[in-house]
Amino acid sequence: MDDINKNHSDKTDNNQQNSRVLLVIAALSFIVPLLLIYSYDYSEKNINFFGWQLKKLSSDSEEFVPKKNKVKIKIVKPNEITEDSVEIIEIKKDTLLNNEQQSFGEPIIDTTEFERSHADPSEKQRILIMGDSECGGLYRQLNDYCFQNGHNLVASVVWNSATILNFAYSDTIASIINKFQPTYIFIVVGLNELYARDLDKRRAAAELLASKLKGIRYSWIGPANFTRDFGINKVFSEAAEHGAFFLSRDLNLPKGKDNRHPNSEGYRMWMDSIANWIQTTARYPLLMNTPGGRNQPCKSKVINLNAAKYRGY
Amino acid sequence: MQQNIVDINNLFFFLNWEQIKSFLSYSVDKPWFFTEFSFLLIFGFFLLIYAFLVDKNKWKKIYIIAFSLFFYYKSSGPFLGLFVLMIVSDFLFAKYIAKQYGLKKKIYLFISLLYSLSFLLYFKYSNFFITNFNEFLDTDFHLNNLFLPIGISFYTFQSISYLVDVYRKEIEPSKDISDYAFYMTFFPHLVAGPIVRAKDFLPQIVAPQIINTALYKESIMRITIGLIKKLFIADYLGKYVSLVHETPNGFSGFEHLISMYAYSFQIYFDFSGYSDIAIGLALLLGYRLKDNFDAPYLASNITVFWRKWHMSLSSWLKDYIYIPLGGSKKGVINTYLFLLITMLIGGLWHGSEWRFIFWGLAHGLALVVHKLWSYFVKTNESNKLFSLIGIFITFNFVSLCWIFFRSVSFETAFQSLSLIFTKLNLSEIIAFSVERKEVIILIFISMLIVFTPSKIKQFIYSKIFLLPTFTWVIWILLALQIIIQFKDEIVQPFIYFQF
Repeated sequence: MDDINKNHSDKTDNNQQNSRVLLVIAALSFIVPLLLIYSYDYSEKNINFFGWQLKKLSSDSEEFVPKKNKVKIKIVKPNEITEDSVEIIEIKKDTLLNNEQQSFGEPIIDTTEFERSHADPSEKQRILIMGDSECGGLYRQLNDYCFQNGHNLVASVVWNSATILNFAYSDTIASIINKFQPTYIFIVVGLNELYARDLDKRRAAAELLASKLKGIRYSWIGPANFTRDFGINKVFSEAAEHGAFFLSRDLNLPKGKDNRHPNSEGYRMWMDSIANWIQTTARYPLLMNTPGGRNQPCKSKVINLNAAKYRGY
Repeated sequence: MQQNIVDINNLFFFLNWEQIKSFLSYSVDKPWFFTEFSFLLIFGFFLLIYAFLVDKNKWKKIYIIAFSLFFYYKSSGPFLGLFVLMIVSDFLFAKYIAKQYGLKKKIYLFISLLYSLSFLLYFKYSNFFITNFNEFLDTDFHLNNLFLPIGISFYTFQSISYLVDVYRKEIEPSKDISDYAFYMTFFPHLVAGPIVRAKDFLPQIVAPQIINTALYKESIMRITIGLIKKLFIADYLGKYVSLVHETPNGFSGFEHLISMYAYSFQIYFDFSGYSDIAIGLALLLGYRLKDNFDAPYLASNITVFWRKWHMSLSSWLKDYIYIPLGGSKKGVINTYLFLLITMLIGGLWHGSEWRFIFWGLAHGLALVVHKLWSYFVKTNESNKLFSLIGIFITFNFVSLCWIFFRSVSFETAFQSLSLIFTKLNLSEIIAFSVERKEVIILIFISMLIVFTPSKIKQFIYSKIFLLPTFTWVIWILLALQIIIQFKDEIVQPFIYFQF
C-alpha cells in the first residue's frame, strides 16, 4: 500500500515538474517573440524580406500592397536628425505644392481683404485642437510643431463621426475651452458632412460656432476630402472670420487604406501645408517652423468622443 | 533642442520611472485588453512566476486574483472599487440565502438580485429610460454623464447565476471569499466572457488541471488563432464597415450589401477571436472555460444558430430567464411568448438602444416562426440540399439583423436596408473588386474559414499538433509578425467590450 502511495506521489511530483517546465516554455513563447518585436521596434535597422520591408510595431499602417510598389518614406527619429533629414521633409512638402491639383468642387475664392492680427506670432500659445476623426491624425503632427516652436498643446478633442452640429450645439466644447483656457484653437471638421444637402442647417450651426469663438484666435481647417462635397466647404469658409478658414479640399494628399482619411504621410503633408498658411497668410499667425524631429511624445490630454454614442446636444 | 528629445534607443525603457508609472496607472484612452502587445509581454512574465507557484495552491490563487484585479484596473480604472464591492456583497448574500428557508429565502434572493442588477441598470440603462421618458411624456429630465464600466454586463450575469444556483441548491455557497473572488475576477473571462457558471468553475479552483504538452499546444494554438482572427481579419473588415456606416448616404446598395456581409464576419471573428484568446489563456493556467462558438454560420436554422452562437449567453438566458418563466411547459402560446421575452432581454443586454431591442425581437420572431415551421412541416434533417438551403437562409437572415446591431441609429439601419433592397446593382462587383480588393480578399478568406466543415478543420489542427513543442514559439512570432504587417493604426476595442 505504501509503495502504491509512494508511486502515486512520485508521479504527481513528475507531473508537476513537467508542468513547470511547460509553463516556463509557454512563458518564453510570449516573452521571446515580443522582446524580439520590441527590440526591432527600437532598433534603427530595417529588415527586408523578399522586397517587403518588415514593419515595426509603432510604425503607422500603410496600404495593403507590398512596400516595393510604394513611395519610400523615411521615418526620421530624433537621434537621426541631421540637415539631410530636414531636407527630406522639405522635399515632401514641395511634392504637395507642385503636384497637379485636383479640384472637388466649385472654386472658393475669397477676395475680401482682411487685416492680419497684430499679435506677436512668436508668442508661445496654449493650443487646443478639436475636430472629427481627421483631427485624430492631425493632432499628432500639430504636436510636433508645438514641440518645435515651444507652444503648449493643452488638449486634443477627437470627436469621431462628429459634424458641425455636434460642435456648435454642444456644451462640451465650451466646457473644454473653459477647462483648458487655450489661447489658440484649431477646428478640423467637415469630413462627415461632405454629402450634406441641408446646407442652411449647417450654415446656422457654423455661424453659431464662429460666434462662440469670437475673441479667441483660431484657425478653421476644412476637411481633406477625396471626393466632391455639396458645398460644406463654402459654408464653412463663409461662416469663419475672413482669413481664418483653410481650404484643405484641393490638396493632393496620399490616402489611407480607407480611401477616406489621409495616411500618416498625408497628415504630415497636410499639417506642413497648414503651418505654411498660418505663418504666411492666416488671419491669426502663429510661429510654426517645420519640426526638426517627428513623432515627438504627446503629453497633451487627448479626449476621445464618438458622435455615434455621444451627440453632445 | 537635443536635450528635449527622449532617447528612444534605450532598450531598457521600462526601467524609466515615468514609463513604469504610466504602465501601472489606468489610461482612459488606452484600456488594457488581450490584443495589446504590452499585455502579452507582461502575461509572459506573469506566467514565468506562475510556473514556480504551480504546486502552491493558496499562493497561486492569490497571485492570479492580484493580477486579475490589476488587469481590471488597467481596463476600467476606478470602477475596480465597484467590482470589489459587488464581489464582497454577493459572497455575503449567498451565505445568507443558503441559511434561509421558504419566503425569507425568496426575499433574500430578490434583494440580492436587485442589488446586483442595480449597478447594471444604473450605468447601462438609466439614460435610455430618461431619454424615452422625456420623449414620450415631453419632460426635461437631465441625462447622466455616465461611463459604462467594462465587463459589467458579463460579471453581473455571473453574479446572478451564482446567487440563483445557491438559492436552487445546485451549488454550496463558497466558504472562502478568495474562491468566490477568484471565480469572479479570473482575468481571461473578466471583461467580455465567456459567461462562466459558478458550478462549472468553482470545482476547478480546488483541482485545476495540470498542464501537459497537449494542453500547452491547444492553448498556444487558441491564442494565436484568436489574435489573427481579431487583429488581422476583424479589424481590417471593420474599417470598411465603419466607413459605410458613418455616411450611409454616400454608398450604393451594393456597397451596403458587402458591408453587411463584412460585418457578419467581423463580429464573428472579433468575438470568437476574443473567446479563443480567453480560453487559451485560462488553459495555460490550468482552468477550462467552455467554448463560446461552434461554427454558428453553418447552422441550418435559427434555433441551431442560437445553440452555436455566444453559447455561454444563450444558455444563460435559457436557464435563468426562459425556463424560470415557464419554458415549454405552459402551453404553445406561452412558449412563444417566453421565447420573445427572452430574446428581447437578450437584445437589451447588448445595448440600451431601440435598435438592439429590435434585433432581439427579430431573432425572437424568427425562433417562433422556425418552431411553427418545424411543427407543421416535417423536413428531412439529413437531406444535404435542405441543409444547404437552411444554412443560406439562416446566414442571410442573421446578416440582415446585424445591420441593426452595427448601425449608428435605427434610421440609418433602415436606410441601409432600403439601399440594399431598392438600389442594388450587382454589376458594381467589378469596379468594387478593383477599388477595394483587400475587402474582397478578406471576405473570401472569412468564407473559407467559416464555411469549412469542422471535420476538415479538426484534421488540419491534428496535423499542426504533431509539430514539436519548441517550434510553437516560432508560430507566435509569425502570427504577431503577420498582425504587425497588416495592423491598423489604432487597434479597435473588442466589439463585446461595450456590452
